[in-house]
Amino acid sequence: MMRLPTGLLFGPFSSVLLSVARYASGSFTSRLSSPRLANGSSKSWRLLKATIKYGCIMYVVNNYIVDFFVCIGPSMEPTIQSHDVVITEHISQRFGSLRRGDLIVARSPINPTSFICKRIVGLNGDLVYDENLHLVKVPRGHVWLEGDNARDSVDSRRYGPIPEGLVRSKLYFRLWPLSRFGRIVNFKRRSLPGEDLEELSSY
Amino acid sequence: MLHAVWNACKFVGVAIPVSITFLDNVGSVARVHGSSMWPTLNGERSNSPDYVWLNSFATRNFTVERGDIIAFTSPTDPNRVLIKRVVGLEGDIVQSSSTRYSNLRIRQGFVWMEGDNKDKSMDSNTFGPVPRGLVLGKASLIIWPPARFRRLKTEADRSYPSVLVENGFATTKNQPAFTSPKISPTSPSDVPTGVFASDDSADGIKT
Repeated sequence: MMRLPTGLLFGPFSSVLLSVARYASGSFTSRLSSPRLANGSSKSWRLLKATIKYGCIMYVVNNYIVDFFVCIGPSMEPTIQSHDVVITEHISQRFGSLRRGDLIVARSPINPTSFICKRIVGLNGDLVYDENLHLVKVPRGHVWLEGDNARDSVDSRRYGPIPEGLVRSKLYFRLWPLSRFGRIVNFKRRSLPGEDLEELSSY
Repeated sequence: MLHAVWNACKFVGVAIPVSITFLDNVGSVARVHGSSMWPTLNGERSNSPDYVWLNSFATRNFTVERGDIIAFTSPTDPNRVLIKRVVGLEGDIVQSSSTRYSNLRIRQGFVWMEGDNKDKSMDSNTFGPVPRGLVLGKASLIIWPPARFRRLKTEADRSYPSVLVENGFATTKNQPAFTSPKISPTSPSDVPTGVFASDDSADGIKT
């Protein structure tokens, strides 16, 4: 799981592009005689200001609305394959409408600077099996994550339920490869031990 | 008129992202509720609550030190923020005041947080070790009320009774931590199935 560095790269990069475009279209030079420039506002200062401005806007978009991820690793195959590029959205997580079966991106509980992409299998109060086939009850405020490729996935069966606060965003759209371009549907889910799937018609 | 409205919109559209970015990455001011960190925070109970400066830049890589006062998202409720002191780091062996966690080795990526006021604190003794990914910032200053203005020190040298061994099993880092949180169990019935297992979880059910 790798986050595309859109916040760091896109921000300054787009701001430089915009500044260059404005320079080329002449709006930079036409303002040279404006009174604001006489107050000491130089070209490099305005470039810096634009960089900060667009960088901050990109940061907020990436951390509160949508961001881009490259999924690396076999744990979610065949749903998400290695090196798929996906768009994730933060809205569902922010309003607490996470459901079983959702594909999500979370901070790894083992290494907080990296991200994991898994499926929510259990919510608060559900009974789930851990790797030793013991029944575990998911505590309050936690979720139980599992990879679709159960044999090749380090997930909650190994490190236990993770707090909802670590969940970052929900997978929404696949950009790459183009053959599977389109919305990601969060429908697949397994029955929990002691639970009848037919009762879950509301799901 | 329309021009003025457009200019105001443009200003707000830039000011809001810039301030959010600042609050997330540099620092913010937070009010401290409750007496769990007494006497360090909210030292005078009758007075107004303390306001602290949370330094988010210091914890940008989720690194903490023993003795830091840290604000973090509550593991049991994602909408609440708690402020506690880091007592145990990964690899330490800790013992909680209750019997729920004894001789617990803290796994990689987790910390043990405790309030200074042990009797009135909902901390790791209740909900277990906290993943470092939940850390929001480090409380570095009390900025209000002015009479209590001071820097908050990292009390690394203080003795923390709940830490039995500091970094005790650093050589066996690769052991599967979730299944072996307990070292030298006193009796088989004391062995919890997992670090987060709550009291009413199906402890003995096997398939």
